[in-house]
Amino acid sequence: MNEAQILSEVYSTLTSLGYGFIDAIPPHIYYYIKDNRDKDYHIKVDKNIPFEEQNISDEALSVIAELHLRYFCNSETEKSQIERLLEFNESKASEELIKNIFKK
Amino acid sequence: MSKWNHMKTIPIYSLTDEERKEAIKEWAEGNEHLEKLLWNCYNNGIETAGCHYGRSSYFQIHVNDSNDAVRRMLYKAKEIPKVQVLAVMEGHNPRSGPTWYEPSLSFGTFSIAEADQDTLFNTLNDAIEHKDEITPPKEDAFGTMLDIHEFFKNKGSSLMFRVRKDAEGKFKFTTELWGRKGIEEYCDNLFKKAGMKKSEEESHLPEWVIEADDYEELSKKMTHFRDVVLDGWNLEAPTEITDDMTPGEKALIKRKEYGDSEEGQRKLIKYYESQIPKTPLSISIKRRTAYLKRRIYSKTMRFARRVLGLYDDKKKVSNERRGEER
Repeated sequence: MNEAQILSEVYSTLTSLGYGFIDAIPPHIYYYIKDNRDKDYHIKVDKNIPFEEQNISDEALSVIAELHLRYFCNSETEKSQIERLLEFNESKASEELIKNIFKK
Repeated sequence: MSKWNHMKTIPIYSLTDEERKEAIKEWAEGNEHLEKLLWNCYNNGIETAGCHYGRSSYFQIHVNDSNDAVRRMLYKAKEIPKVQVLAVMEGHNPRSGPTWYEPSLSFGTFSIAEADQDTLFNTLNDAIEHKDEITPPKEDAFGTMLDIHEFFKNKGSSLMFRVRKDAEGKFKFTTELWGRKGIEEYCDNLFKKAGMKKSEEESHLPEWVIEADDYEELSKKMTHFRDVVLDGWNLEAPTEITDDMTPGEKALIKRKEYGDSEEGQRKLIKYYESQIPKTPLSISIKRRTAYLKRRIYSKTMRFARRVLGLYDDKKKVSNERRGEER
C-alpha cells in the first residue's frame, strides 16, 4: 500500500466522520491529505460502525491515531489513554518479536 | 506536548517578554528562518495565528491594520515553490483557542524539500523587511485574496478560498463551501458568472475552480472573479441557529450570547461538543480509543507523522538531502 492510498483511506474516514473532526484539523493538513490522496482508490467507511470492525488499513488507522492525539482529544484523560494504549501495543509488538526470534 | 506547542493558538500579545521568547523558540520548531519570521511579525504588528515547520510547512496570520505588509507578502508568495495561499473566512472549532472565530490568511508549500520550507519563510521575511522596494501591481492574483478576505470576513459565508501553484507552474484557484448548505445554489450561480466551474474532482464539499497556465492568466481571472462576486454578493451573516448548520456555524452564533470571557469560552466549547453528531468515535473515551487495539505503535506512528508531513526528529531532517522530492 502506498502513501497516496493510505491518505485516501484517511480522507474517506475523515469525510465520514464529518464536522467536529474535519474542522478540528488545521486546513493545511486537511488539504494536504485531500490533494495527495489517490483519487482512484476508494474505501467505504461507515461512521456508525467501530473502525476496528471495518476494512481500514493499520497504516491509515495510525494516521487517524496521530490526528486523534493532536486534534480530536477532548481531555488530558483521553490523551493519556491513547498514550497508554500505544505503549501497551509497543510492548506486545516487542514480545512477539522476541518470540519469533526464538522460534527460529 | 510542551507548554507552548499544544495545538491551541495562544495570543502572543498576552505573554510576558520572557514567555514570548520561550514560546517563539518552540513554535519555530528549530527553524531559524521561521523564528525570524515570528519576530518580524510581532515587531511589525502582524498577528500570527499558527505555524508549522515540516514537510509542507505553513504560516497563518490574522489580518488587521497591517494590510500593506500583508499585501507585500501576498505579492511575493508566487516565488514560493508549490505555494498555497488559504483565506479561511470563519473559524470552525472553538477548541482551537480564544481567537478561533477570526478569519485568517495562510501561506504554505506542498513541497517536501527542506530548502523549499526555508524559501517559504524567507520570502515572507523579505516581504516584511523590504517595504520600500516592493510595490504590488493593481492586477495581482494573490493580492486579490486580501480583497476577498476583507470583503467576506463578517459575512458568515462559510467559504474557504484557496490558490495554489503546482510543480509545473500551473495555478488553481478554488472555493469550497464548508457549511450553509442552503446557499449552494446561490453560490453556484454567482461563481459561474465570475468565471468558475464546479469541480469535477470527488469532494465531500461543494467546490468551484478556476485554472490558469501562468500567473498573468490567473491574475486576470481572479480580478474578474473578485469584481463580479464582491459586487454581486448580497447575503448577510445568519443570526439564528438552524438544524442544518454545522457545529462550528452554530458556535459562531452562540458566541454572541456567551461572550469571549474564559467562562464564556468554556460554555461555548461544551455547546459545540454537544452539537457534534454522535458516532462510536464521539461517545466515550473507551469507545473512542478502541481502534487503537490494532497493530498501532511507535513504528507505525512515526510512519503516520511522516505521511502527514510532520517532522518527527529534527536531526533526521538535517540529514535529508536538500531538494529531495517525492
